[in-house]
Amino acid sequence: MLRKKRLLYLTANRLTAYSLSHRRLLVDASFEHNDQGIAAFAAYLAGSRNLYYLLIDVVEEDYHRDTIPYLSRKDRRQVLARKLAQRYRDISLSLSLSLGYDQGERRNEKVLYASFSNTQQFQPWLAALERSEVRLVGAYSTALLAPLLIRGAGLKASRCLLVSVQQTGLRQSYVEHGQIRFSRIGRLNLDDAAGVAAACASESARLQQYLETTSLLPAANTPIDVMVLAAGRYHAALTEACRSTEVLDFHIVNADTQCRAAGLQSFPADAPCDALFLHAAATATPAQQFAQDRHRHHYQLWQIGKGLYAAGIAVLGSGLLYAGVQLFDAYDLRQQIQSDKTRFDAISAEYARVTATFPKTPTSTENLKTTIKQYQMLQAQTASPAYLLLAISKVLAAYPQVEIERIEWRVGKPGQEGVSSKGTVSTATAPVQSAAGVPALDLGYELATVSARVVGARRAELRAITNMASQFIDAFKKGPRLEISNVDMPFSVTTEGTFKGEIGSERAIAEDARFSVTIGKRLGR
Amino acid sequence: MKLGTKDLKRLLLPVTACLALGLVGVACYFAADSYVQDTEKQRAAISAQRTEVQGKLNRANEEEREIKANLQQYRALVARGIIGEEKRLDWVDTITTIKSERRLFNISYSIEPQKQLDYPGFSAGSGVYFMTSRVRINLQLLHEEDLLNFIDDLAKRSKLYLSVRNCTIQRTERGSGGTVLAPRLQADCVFDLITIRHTRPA
Repeated sequence: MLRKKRLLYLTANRLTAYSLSHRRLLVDASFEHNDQGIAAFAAYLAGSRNLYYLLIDVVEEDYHRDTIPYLSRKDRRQVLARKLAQRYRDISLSLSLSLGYDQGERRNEKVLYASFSNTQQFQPWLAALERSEVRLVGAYSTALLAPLLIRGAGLKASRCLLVSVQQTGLRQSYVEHGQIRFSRIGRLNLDDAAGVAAACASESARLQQYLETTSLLPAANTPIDVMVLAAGRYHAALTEACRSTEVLDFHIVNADTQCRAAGLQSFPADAPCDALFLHAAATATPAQQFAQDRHRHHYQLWQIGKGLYAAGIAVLGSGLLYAGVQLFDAYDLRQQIQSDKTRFDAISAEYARVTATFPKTPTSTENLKTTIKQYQMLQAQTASPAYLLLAISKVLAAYPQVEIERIEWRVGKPGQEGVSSKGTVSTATAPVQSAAGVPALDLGYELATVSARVVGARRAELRAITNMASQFIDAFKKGPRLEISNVDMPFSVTTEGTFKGEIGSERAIAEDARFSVTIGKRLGR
Repeated sequence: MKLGTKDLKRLLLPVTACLALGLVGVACYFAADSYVQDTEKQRAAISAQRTEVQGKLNRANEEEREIKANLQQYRALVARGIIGEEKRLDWVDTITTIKSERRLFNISYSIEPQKQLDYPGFSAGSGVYFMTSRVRINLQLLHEEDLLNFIDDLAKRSKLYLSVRNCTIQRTERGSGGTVLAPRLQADCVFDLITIRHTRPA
């Protein structure tokens, strides 16, 4: 639902309140500039929650062009505030408009200062607005709105003079490149159509001269477009009086027609130009306006509240939108779940039907499987001494000088015996790798440690005894799948150990020339 | 723009509404997210179940063959007495019989208390329990072949599984030329007597 807008048209003598709703601009009330009028206006405002637009149309306006250096935003704001304070005694209704930047190297900014020179006359009205805590959107001058009306009429001239016939008189506003540069108002007898038309023509020519004099126009006889905006009843007279010349190109615009073109279905018949200005303020509200923050405080509060509501709704909307998308995904997933469940049930039933034909087992299928699997593993880790004893027996048959004293057969891992006192050679064995590269279960070895001695040799025959022992041990290496480790030779002939001997004693049989070797075969092979 | 206490009071409702709407929006976000994640988990779970049962169905024939093969081996183990309680007296009787048949010298033995098997790859916790009793046995031998025959006979005839862990064979005499039949070797062996149970041991 569109909120009703309240438009306040303030002149030196009175304030007229309009309301704009459903394309209808209606006069609500008119208040004279006296105590009764102010009081009535305050009563009119009481309790209102509408948005208010204040349009000021008075003679006392001032426009001044200036140039400031190119500055940062903060410095620019401070400089403009200082310049306004220097130029105007009262800056409560003043503003500065940027007119663009110089093309030069320094990029100076051209600025137009605008202010109402006698603001005291407005203070009672502004005070009433402030007291009533109404939401004042802004205070605008008719000059400030002139570019909007020119644009609304379809005129695209770079230099245009808007001459509007209003209740307060003949308003002339000079607009260059879409921005107001100068404005003034003159008295007018609205009842005399020919006089009005003549005034429009003559005042336009006069203002053109003035603009040239004040250098607002770049050169003498610079042509400008003149848009004459007046009620329909002046149209014929204006057409007659306002003839285009070399410097003035007149465009007569019927305000009544323009109001309807702007979308106003209803407007005060006696003030179509005022209606157009008010409509422009309410529908194409310019960013710049004259009111200070304290006058607009409640409007700004309303904006904050509106922003908060909008933020909340935006978050809620985002959440709901996301939830909607997610729920759509969830619905899709639910469909998949249902489909999977149906297929699962069907496959389960089929599996149950198939397994019903399986043979009955004395224990659970899993236990049965585990039992056999572990039993096979047990078998792989079980060995008989027969293999290694047979291997020893075969080697022994070829070496009658070697006599075995002791055989220790065991299941385990090589290298777990105690450290030998004599030279020991150990063959390291790495864990078996499975095809996939993962270390397979190390089942260990069956090992036989053979302790033997060379018989019949003399103590001095060191080399012969050592060679015999070596040959005997090497013979095991030829055996299939046999590995040799922990070789303990009869004498420590390496440089690490102590080596004792006895030369010349013929009786010294080498009874202590014992040696040992561990032969192993990996389990599970 | 400066905000006073009065202004803040005026903004209380919009702020509250903003927070409330925002909270509801955020709640919707997380609730929907959580719901979708839960649903996704359900879908993944049911999909995994379906894949699993599909795989089982595909392997049904193979499984049946495997069960039949396992069952055959299982029955053989039951018949041998490996599955069930350990029968120590039967085992002693078997040793006595072997000694008599093989005409072996003295045999002494000691059987340790039964415990769970701890060979590599065997773990407690499944429904199958491999139990073992460690036996230390001493034999007087004439020849090392007597030991091999003894072990072979024992493994075949015992109503349990025999796992030889170690055997030490050494001479008891050297160079004796007497005619009296006397043991020449001594063997000290350690065996594991293994049985399988499907009930948790006490």
